[in-house]
Amino acid sequence: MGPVHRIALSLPEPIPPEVAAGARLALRIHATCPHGCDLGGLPVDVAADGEVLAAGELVSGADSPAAAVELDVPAPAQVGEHAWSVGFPRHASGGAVHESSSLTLRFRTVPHAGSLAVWDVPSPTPATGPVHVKVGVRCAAGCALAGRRVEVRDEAGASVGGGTLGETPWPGTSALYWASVELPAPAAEGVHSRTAVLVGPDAGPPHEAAPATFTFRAGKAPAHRATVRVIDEGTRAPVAGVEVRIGRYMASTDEHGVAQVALPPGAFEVAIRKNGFRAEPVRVAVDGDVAVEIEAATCPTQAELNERFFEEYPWG
Amino acid sequence: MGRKRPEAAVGRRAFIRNGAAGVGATALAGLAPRVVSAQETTWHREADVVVVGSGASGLPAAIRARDLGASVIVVEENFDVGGHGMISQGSVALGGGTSMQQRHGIEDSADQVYLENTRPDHVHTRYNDREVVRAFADHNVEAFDFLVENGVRFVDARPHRVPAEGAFTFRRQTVAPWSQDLNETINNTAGSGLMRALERSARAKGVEILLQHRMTRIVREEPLAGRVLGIACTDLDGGGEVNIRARQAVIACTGGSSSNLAVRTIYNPLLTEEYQVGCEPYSRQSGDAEQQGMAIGGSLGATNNMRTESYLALCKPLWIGCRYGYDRWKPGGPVFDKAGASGMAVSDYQDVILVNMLGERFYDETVGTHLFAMEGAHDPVFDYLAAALSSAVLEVDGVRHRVGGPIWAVFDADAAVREEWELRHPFVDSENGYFFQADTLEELAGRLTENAYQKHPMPPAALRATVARYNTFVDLGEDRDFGKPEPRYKLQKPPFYAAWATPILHDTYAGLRVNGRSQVLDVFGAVIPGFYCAGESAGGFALHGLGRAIVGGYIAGTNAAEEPTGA
Ligand SMILES: Cc1cc2nc3c(=O)[nH]c(=O)nc-3n(C[C@H](O)[C@H](O)[C@H](O)COP(=O)(O)OP(=O)(O)OC[C@H]3O[C@@H](n4cnc5c(N)ncnc54)[C@H](O)[C@@H]3O)c2cc1C
Ligand SMILES: [Zn+2]
Ligand SMILES: [Zn+2]
Repeated sequence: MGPVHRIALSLPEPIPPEVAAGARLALRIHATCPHGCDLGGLPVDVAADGEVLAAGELVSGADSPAAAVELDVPAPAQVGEHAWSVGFPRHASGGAVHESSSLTLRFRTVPHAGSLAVWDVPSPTPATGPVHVKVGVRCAAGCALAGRRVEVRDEAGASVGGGTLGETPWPGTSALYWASVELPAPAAEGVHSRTAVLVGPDAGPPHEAAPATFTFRAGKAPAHRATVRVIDEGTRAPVAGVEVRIGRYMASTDEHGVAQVALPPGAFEVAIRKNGFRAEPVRVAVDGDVAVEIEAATCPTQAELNERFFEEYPWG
Repeated sequence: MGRKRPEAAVGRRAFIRNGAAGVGATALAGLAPRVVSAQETTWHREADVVVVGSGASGLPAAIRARDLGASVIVVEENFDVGGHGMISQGSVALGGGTSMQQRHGIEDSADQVYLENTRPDHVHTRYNDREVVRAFADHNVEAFDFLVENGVRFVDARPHRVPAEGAFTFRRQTVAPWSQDLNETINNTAGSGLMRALERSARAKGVEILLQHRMTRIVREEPLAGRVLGIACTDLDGGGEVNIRARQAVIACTGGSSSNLAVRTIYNPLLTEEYQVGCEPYSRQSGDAEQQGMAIGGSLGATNNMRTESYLALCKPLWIGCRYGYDRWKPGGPVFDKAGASGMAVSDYQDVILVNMLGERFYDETVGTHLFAMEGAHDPVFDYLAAALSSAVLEVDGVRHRVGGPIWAVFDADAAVREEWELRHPFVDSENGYFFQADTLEELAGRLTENAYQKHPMPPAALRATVARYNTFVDLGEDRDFGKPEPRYKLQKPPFYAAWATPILHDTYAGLRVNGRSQVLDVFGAVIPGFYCAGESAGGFALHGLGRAIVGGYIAGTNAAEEPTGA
């Protein structure tokens, strides 16, 4: 039997001390024999409590004495302290015997960081009937969170509604899973606060997300309706997609240039907004249903104004 | 003409990670002044007059000196001529009774130009050097005729006026653009009609233009005494040193100092590295005239003009979500890849909140989108800009630092619809570190360190709290922190966006101290023989733009050609 060599195992990039539970770790393992033997082709594995999690063969380094292999190993799904052992089994070949060798890796798994969004919160809310909002959760690691539950709590911390995250992320997002949540209308007028929280269940890795507090205003019952029609001052054609604002109440014009806005009684200013159009606000007194027609004049868009800024100096 | 195009844009991510220097740090590395005596200098080239910079002051200086019989070499560090003059809108403020003014029935005179530009009741005119303004006023008509003689075509329309500049008479006339070819015009603006006409005329008259030659030093007989004898340059293409002897004079026209950290922080130490400069990446306001001029004993002049509370020295960007949001870079132009994106115009600042690098609001967002102060009134945008320059208090190792740092316009999907923004190339580049999108506000905050100037992470919880508070202000109908009038829209619908909205630098209103002949004065108030300066690198006069540059260059060229010819 030939000489006995003791190889050295190492991780050029150590495992971070904290790892998201269940995250896949790409472990790059180096093995070097102090006598310069080529260890290419020899096996290594990663085990936890004697159970092998991943195994592979070393590949000789092109211009380094270390042979290397990269193993893709999932971190435990449970939160807590863990120890893995990288193992190299005893191997005899050619002249030399390479002793078995191992390296212990210690790390902690932590819950995935999640974050919440709450949107489509109507404000002012309709005075009667439930309020519908959307609550979404995103995991920093991009987990598919379908099936998890979210809850909305009132100022006192009592649950006032909840929902289960759906299968498809919200349009335009990569992994924001969301639910529509129905909330009872608040009894009192004024600004109310609610908090959305992620409550589980945690079938897969656990997730932690800071609660998201949002507010909305409960107004007077909108007893009346304003019908606002916006037309182009020059062509007299209806203008679609115009934001119509009556006090705090907003709506958009349809293809007939018409927006319907439910309002409580009172005196309001009606203003419009659309890129490339403008009109002076008009005042209305609402004590029944009202109809308002607004003639909008075309004007340059902001981008056009900015492009001509240095040329024209509109103040000049 | 064998113009060189710039190298391709650097790898997008290559530059965005940056060292650990804290924000607010000012890396003052410049061209270290190497004191070399004139005897040591080997001259590789020579001419009667050497002009540094081929912009709005450099080319008039060169042509004028050549017209008076001097041989002229112009060195230009860029791959093409024109500097800011090329990218400008070519609206030239010249009056005093020009033929154009006369044709449109506008009465004006040199005295009127002088008096209007020395008015004490306007922030933009009250600190001007009266000798410099007098010389400017007395040469307006000549300079206008000179442009026309050298092929510049003005649009025949009634000159208009810009009260904020202190030029209350109708003096601005617009140059006709050069062509529709972006390779000729760089950004398709009328400034090309000015600079290409001057370039063509200069070349036809025998002015030699050395592109990609950067002046690195001004050579004087003694380090701090005697005549200026020439300049040292680096050939940015070939790499070698090229020393050019000037038998009569050197005219430095390097376009102001906004791009030079060491010089701009002389005027305002708060103008740290995060502030980008309009017109980059085409040409720099290198501050080389100022820096090298000071290294040989030159003085700065009329530095009161350089306060930021003045017109276009520092601006709220007109275009957000891009690095250079001063003027809009047009896709297809030769430097567009370097600019990265053309940005988005904000039609209503109700659609965004502006937050500092820590995710905090700091001012009413709707204030001052280039509201020019009329008749010298205080422009509230400068209070906004002052707040931006001190927007954040950072704590590093238990010590607090008040810094400016990046300013981000944060908005949601609803705002993008209201503004009709198309959040895609060429308007934004989601890879270059000046525009970000994320599913939640926390994720958005976490991405911002991909920007080179966001040196400290934005605390995700802080951004969430800022937005939650702002959304409550919308419910309340009042902004209890900064008084934004009736905050109108909640920021709630995913995805969420952050667009670069940091103030951007442009005009330089002070520079080397010059007299009415455009000669540079030293720190003792004496003329440095054989050394001239014009354009934004010259101090004394805070008039924005081309008029001052053209006339300053014209005066410098006239006097340089009359200098004695050195042995
Ligand atoms: C978008 C935009 C629009 C504008 N519109 C107007 C307008 O409508 N009306 C108006 O009056 N003004 C306008 N301006 C301002 C006007 O263009 C400048 O004030 C004017 O060009 C300044 O002239 P200058 O000669 O000082 O600098 P520049 O024209 O910038 O020329 C300086 C030159 O020096 C070169 N240089 C710098 N350092 C060195 C070095 N070390 N060695 C060699 N070369 C060097 C630069 O590359 C550059 O080519 C505008 C500017 C911009 C950016
Ligand atoms: Zn061995
Ligand atoms: Zn996850």
